[in-house]
Amino acid sequence: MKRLIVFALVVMTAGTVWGQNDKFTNAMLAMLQKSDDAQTVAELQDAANGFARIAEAEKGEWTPLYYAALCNIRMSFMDVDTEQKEKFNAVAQSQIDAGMKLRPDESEFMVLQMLVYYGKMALDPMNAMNLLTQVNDLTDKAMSIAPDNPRIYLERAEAVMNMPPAFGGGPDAARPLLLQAMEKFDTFVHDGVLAPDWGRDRCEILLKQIDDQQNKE
Amino acid sequence: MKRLAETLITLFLTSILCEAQVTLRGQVNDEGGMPLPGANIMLKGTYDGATTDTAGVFTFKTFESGSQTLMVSFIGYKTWEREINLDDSLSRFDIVLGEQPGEIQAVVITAGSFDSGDLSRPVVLKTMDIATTPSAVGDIYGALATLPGAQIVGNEGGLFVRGGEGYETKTFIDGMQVADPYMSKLPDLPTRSRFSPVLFTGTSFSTGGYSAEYGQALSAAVNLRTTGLADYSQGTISVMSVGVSGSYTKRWEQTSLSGTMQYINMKPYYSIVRQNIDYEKYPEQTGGTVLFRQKLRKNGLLKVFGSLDRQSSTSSYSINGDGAAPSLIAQKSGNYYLNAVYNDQLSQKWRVMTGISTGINNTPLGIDENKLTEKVRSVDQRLTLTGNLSDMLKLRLGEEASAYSYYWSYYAYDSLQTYSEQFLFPDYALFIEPEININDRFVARAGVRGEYTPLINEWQLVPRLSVAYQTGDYSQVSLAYGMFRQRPENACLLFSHDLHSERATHLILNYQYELNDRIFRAEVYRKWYNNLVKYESEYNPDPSSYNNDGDGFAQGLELFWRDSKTVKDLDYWLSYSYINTERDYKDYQQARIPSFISTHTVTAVTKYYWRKANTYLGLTYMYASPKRYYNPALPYSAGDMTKAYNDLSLNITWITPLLGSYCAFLLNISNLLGFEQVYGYHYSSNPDAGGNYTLYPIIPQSKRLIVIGGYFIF
Repeated sequence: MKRLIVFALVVMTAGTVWGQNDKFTNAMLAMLQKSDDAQTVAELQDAANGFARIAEAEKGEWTPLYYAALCNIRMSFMDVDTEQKEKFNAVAQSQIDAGMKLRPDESEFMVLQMLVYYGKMALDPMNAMNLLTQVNDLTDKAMSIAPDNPRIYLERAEAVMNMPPAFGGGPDAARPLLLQAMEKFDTFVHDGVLAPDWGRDRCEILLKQIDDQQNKE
Repeated sequence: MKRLAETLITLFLTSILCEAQVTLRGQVNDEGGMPLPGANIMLKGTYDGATTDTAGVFTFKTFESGSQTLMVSFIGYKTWEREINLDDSLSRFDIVLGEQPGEIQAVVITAGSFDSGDLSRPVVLKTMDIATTPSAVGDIYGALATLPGAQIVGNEGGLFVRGGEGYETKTFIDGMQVADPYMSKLPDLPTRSRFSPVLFTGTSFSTGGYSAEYGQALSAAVNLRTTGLADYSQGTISVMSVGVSGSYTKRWEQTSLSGTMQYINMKPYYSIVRQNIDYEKYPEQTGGTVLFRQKLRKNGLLKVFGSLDRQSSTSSYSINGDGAAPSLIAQKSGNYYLNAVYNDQLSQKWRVMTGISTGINNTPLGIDENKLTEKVRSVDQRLTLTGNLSDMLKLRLGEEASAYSYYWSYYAYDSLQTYSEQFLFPDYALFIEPEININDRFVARAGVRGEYTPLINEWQLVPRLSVAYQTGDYSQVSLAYGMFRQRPENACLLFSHDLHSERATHLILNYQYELNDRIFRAEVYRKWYNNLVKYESEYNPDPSSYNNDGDGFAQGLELFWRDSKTVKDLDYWLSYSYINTERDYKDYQQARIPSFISTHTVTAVTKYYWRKANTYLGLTYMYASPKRYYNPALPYSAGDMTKAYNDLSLNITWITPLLGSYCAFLLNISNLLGFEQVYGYHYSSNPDAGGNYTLYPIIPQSKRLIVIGGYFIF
């Protein structure tokens, strides 16, 4: 009898403790699944909000801020009007700022910052020139801090691809950068199940795009 | 006993596996009753929550219990929180989010105002638009002249708004007066802004009905907002066919400091491109600006702006266009301006703005051996409080104290006599302006401004009223009414203090539709002018020859359309103004249509970004219907008409990498097609043998203005 009660108590307490250790990770993994599956603005907004809630509850964690910002950035590149894009960029920026405060030398946040800058430049080509020097400085800084982070190379390559050839851009200039990014993706060591791991697929798609185009010519 | 144990175990196991779940559901709307999709609802401190759907509805389940805080957040709105108890039975939540103060409102008073800038709405002109509008060549007023309501007066420059003279438009920087915003003006040559558009992050151009915060402007107010704390350090160098300039901005944690310097010399350009004016000494200008910004306390920002510039030139000019021996006009001027403004959040509800500005302008002008000297000293001090008293009520009140001193002297060589006069014009004002916001669809602003001007011994109390109503999701209607006063022009106050302020009353009705980067505006207005100063002749020293018997009216219709969405990378705007106006002022014998008025004005500005070549192409076309000119020998005539004004201006800017950074090359050609422009006519002062007065056309300095330059950022 006594043994039964003790057994029940142990199961109960062990259950709760086991639950708490994984509560954060479980919630994050669930939300990551949601954001990976998201196709529309509404779905991404749902994921962004989910990450924002986790960030609000776990003030010491940087990954919820990171993914919330990433969702907002993804929304800003979708087909919405300028006012919406500016709003998504503004929210992403505040989340990046908060994240940088937690981890000042996190190269993943620098990658997100680069994406926000590119978004701003696309919205306002007139002022884009002013931001170009900022973006390049930031990319160099990120590369020196984390030379193995493949996403830095990917985003740099993507920006180069969108620049006109006269400017030092275009698919030919981007190809070697993309190949370099692929190498980095292959050798990158994942820093835990919640650390950012996206981009390899995108890299492959872009390379295929360039190769298809070159084969046509 | 065994049974009790089983029951206990079952109970324990059940409590682990099936904790009580609570469902929360509800609706989130804005204050106008419109649903807010995408809002984030959460139980504070937990992960539980949901996102509102397109109908603003949310529903979620939670395992939490007891006392919790329900929180809703959404960008642009104040965060909503409420203490709830999950153990009670909970009904549907009907949540209303209030707009974030200081952010854009759902409905903004638009009658008579164009607000531009990187953060404000409705955005009509962005900062870089002003710098890149082809016809303007970097002149702020040239760019504003492409908006409806502004007349194109090629031989004057500045802004002539809705029937008003150039002096009826006042310029402010961060809300503080600027006595001399234009470069020194030579006869028949247009002036331009002293300040470069890149110093400012936003421009408010009000063509009427503006706030009680501003006075001493009969027609229009231009408020230039200097940039805030710079985001990062940066330097620029630019080399143009007319001069060189450089700037550097340095950013520290809470401080930023910017400096610009420029040197302009027209000699190389004027030597190559033929001008209609003979220069003995080519125009030269040296200047610089400093902008210091410092964050103070938690929310305060101190901005100090200083500018100085010196200009000189010597040219031949035929006074009255007589063909008689021209005079040599030697111009040398110095301008100094300093402006310090402090903004801070005093408490949760109150914001304060306080500032002081001061300016000195010296313009000695030599006309052959005669000398005309003007000296202006001005100082302006202001304190404004803005209170967000409740979600519905906002209050602005403040005081302004300013003084304007004007000294004028004329040295006549043949008589060796010097005539001089001067006056000091102090001005004290108080204003109060509540703003009522009813459900975000309707806003009304009613203000009163009291002003005391001792020199002319005048007390005034003037009302200002504006209302705006949101008629649909993207459209609104706005109405503005106000009375405006302005002291008589300097040339009149010099000789008579027995004058009243000139008066104008505005009534404006505006409709605006804005959706997805397209904006349409239509505006109709009526202005009544009273107490305009009349005199027998200009600079007549006899005070009795001046009076306030003049009057006038102006009415018109304006249309504006801007679209930056329909065609990718193409941004264009069209504006049309119609005006019907007459006035009786200055030395007019009767009311007539002034010479600076064109009944119809059409402007089309287009800007295209050619991605492949990283080049911006801009084209501006301007049309102004014929203007009138009058024969002084026939004071009662209806006048004759010049021909219509046409201008097509082009701007090409190409951006390329250089030395690890970036460089922009630009080419600006005004009057590309070489239209012959005639702004008006002078009559000779003496008749010829047949008793007729000869007509001399007022033409631009050169057929085209070509500017080539390079701009490097580091």
